[in-house]
Amino acid sequence: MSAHLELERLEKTYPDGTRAVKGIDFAAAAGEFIVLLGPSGCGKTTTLRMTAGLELPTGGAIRLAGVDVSQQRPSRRDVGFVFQFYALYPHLTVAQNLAFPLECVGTPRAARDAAVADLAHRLELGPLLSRKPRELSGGDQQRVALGRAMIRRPQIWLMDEPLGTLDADRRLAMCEFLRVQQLEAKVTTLYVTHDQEEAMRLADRIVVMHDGKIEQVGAPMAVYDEPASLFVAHFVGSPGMNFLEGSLARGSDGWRFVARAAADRAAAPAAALELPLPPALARAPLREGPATLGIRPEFVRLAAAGPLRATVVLDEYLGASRCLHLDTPCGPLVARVAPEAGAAIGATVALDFSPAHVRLFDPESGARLR
Amino acid sequence: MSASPPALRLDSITKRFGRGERAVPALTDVTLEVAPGERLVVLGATGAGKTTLLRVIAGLETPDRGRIELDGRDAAALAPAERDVALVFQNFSLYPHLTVRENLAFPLRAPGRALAAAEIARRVDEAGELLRITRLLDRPAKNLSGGEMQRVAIGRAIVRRPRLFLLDEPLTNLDAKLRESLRLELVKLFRALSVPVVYVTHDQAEALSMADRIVVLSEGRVLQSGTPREIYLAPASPAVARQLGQPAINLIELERRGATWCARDGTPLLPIDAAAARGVADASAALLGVRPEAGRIAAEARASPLRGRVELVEECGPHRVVAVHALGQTLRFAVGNDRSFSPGDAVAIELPPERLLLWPADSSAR
Amino acid sequence: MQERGTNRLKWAFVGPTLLFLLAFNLFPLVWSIVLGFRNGELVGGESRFIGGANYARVFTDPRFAEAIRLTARFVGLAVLLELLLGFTLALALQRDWKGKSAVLTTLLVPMMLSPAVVGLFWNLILNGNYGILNQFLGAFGLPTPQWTTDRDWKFTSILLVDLWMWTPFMLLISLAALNAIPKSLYEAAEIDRASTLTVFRRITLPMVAPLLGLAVLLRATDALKQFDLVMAITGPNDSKTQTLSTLLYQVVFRDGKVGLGASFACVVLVAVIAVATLFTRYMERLKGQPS
Repeated sequence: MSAHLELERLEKTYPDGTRAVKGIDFAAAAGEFIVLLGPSGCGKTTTLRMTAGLELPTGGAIRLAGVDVSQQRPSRRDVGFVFQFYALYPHLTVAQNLAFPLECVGTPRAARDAAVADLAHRLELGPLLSRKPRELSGGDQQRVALGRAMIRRPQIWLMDEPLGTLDADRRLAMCEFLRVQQLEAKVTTLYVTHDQEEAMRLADRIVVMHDGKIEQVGAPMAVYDEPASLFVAHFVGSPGMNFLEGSLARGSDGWRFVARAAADRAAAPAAALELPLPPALARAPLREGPATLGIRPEFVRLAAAGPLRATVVLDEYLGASRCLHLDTPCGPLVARVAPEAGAAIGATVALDFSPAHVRLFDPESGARLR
Repeated sequence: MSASPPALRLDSITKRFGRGERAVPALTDVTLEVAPGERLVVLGATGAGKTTLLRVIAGLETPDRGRIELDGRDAAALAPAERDVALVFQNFSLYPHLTVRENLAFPLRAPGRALAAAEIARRVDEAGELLRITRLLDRPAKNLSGGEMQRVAIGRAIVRRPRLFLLDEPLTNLDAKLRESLRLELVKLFRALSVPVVYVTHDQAEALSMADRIVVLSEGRVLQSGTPREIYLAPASPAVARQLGQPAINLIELERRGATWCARDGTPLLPIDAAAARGVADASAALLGVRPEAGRIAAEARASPLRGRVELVEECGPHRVVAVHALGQTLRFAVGNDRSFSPGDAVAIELPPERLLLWPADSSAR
Repeated sequence: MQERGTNRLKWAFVGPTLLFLLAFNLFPLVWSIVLGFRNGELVGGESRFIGGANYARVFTDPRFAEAIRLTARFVGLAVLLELLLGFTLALALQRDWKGKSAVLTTLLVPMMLSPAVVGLFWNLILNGNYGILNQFLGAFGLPTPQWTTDRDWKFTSILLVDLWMWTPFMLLISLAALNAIPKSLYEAAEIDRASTLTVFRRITLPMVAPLLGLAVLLRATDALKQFDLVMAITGPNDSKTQTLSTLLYQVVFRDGKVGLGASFACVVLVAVIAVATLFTRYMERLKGQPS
């Protein structure tokens, strides 16, 4: 499938010199759901707004279905946009809001009414059609905003944190609703969020952004399992990946990771953890020297005996699971365990992690070692 | 005295807004207690009355009925300033033109407090250290990021050493990642200070992970209160069950057919004599609750009479959420991320009886 | 207990203002209603009750009808032109440019001046023989009418001065209304492919309408009372510029007919209340609030 939306070396520098986007490259296939994920200020919203034409790039190109639209006005680009705070026309009813994009392109009244009725049915907005936006709940307003972006059947949908203002439980339901609508309409979608959980649920592929640049592009599970950098490993996942500082050493029996004692415990007995690396990892072009070991909380196991001893600092019950926050000689760690597997705060436990789930990073550049 | 009185006690608090016919009840018969040093989380959707509850405790609203006790003493006659409680808002509400240090010192300079300058400086530094904002102390508040602002707002509550902390969705306006780390820091902080806390939120993850005890509030009424575990594992009603857990609990309508509880279409789901069915032994219809992680799904043909088709698969990191169309509705199950399903797959569903919840059918409205 | 305390406090705050309003607003109102039914004169003896005779005269005397017509014309033209001019200027000045705030501040000056002063110095400017306006027009060889005395120009002159004074007010309100429209609505409209005209007609106008409506109401009630400019420029007894207020002045203070004036004032008051009620109804509807 050919690329439907292409961003090439896209840049945005504001007149005051702020470089919001520092060269972004990625392409979305037709019908693909792409999520731009990153913390506030990472340039994700600017990228989205440039794609819509609400801001003009200062470098690079945006191609939509093969046509360079970089310098075109939004009205010429054929995009649908869902704004973070809905941006519904407050003086128009829900029906009028939905019909507005059609009215603008001169669709006859009858066709407009039919399209609104059809959309209202699909989005379950029927009973709300004659209301004004301010009489609706946040979730309903968001559905209207979505409908307005959909009704003209634009080439792509652009969404700027559309669920950010909803209650947590509503957000989840809206996520699913959105995904179902997108799968049905098969419209290429670019979606911005700071919430990694939303990104994981919605995306075909996630574009993780940090400081105006792309850290990684990949399917949700690829980003989760094989993070390309320390940043991605930390940002994706709740809680993020655990990190231990140390170094790689080659022994007679293969590569090993030797964890360093945490800075504030220099006085404590050293060499707290030595972990042999599995053959799969050891095949990588590794070099002796400093390295950061990463392991997801669900792969930190409480064991009867293990290479690392830890004290339980905090116990976060989450219903379906439990996060134990642990203090080890090598620094803090989080273990995700079964909800029944409680451990009292202050208790000492032994930890073990399976080498297969260990990821290694360069502590200097943050890049994955593989 | 044998035991110290609760830090806060509300007895049948009722508050309505407006008068006469058009009065809207905001709180109805709310009774709760916060033990010294306890973290109580009030969980409820937007409009459940959470904020009104905090405002009543703080003395910013006068309840129509009911009694408020602080440390065992009636607080009705106390003005907000005399109650010695600290309120942290969702939108930070700092003084933007003042520095962080001035913001922190502000409540200590209030008339009637008359703290020595040295004592003020000491407390501000202490709060700065506790919240790890020491390096920000001399910046104007308006130059801070959201997370930093909320830390300062909490710091402003800490320096006063109030007898009770009230927090109104303090993390709602922050980025997801920041929310997660600040949540942890707050728990550590409250443990260190051992000050009683009433924390209001709509986020079930915050409630479960932060609370010693949770009070579930809906339409101004307390639906249930208990430890996170009690509320998650034994919700008193479907309404409570729906408030906790992510994704939300699956609810299936049942009717009694002979010795079995069956779905509406006749699929047998649970034997009448199962432990979970005891509470509804004499009912003819019931509501079944299945937590997404409690059900099991398998692609291969199992002996289970319950089958369905996969509609959607969503990634959640350590697990996947699989939406399955079965029994004429959508059921969601969480499976490990090592198991893969695709939309369209036929699956067999198993509901282990020991992990099911059952309520009488008419309780669905509650 | 606490409730009663706060109530007492409320009255303590509101009380003095309330007393003041009663003394200086309600009492004169009631007193003019009473006067309207009596044959009182400014100088002279006891007045007595004469029933509806004053009202009968108000409704038959052509002077009153003419004043109402003239005032209506003045209010309509002044408010309409000020609105159009002010709003158009606001659209032009909407974008930020250097020195914008300074210019806007200068524009406030006419409003801050006393109308009597404005009337007096415009009287000088407009003077047909030695006024600066005619000197200016004459220098370019343009016609130099007798602005304040020519029967065909008097009304226009007063209207022009009123425009000079109050267009900035409309401009400022329009700017405030335009600035209050969230930028995201324009962005949404742009995405929705709305043409400039559609954006103006379907977004800008309806969004500014409530505030502009309020401005029109304020300006209309104010223009209905037009007095100072007329007094300063043409005087109270000029049939070409006699507004309601100046006629009232003429009747009461020059003719000395207090009773007749009072009854006339009451008629005007009822009319003004009627107009204002229509306006507020319209505003409610604009807001679309289900009432």
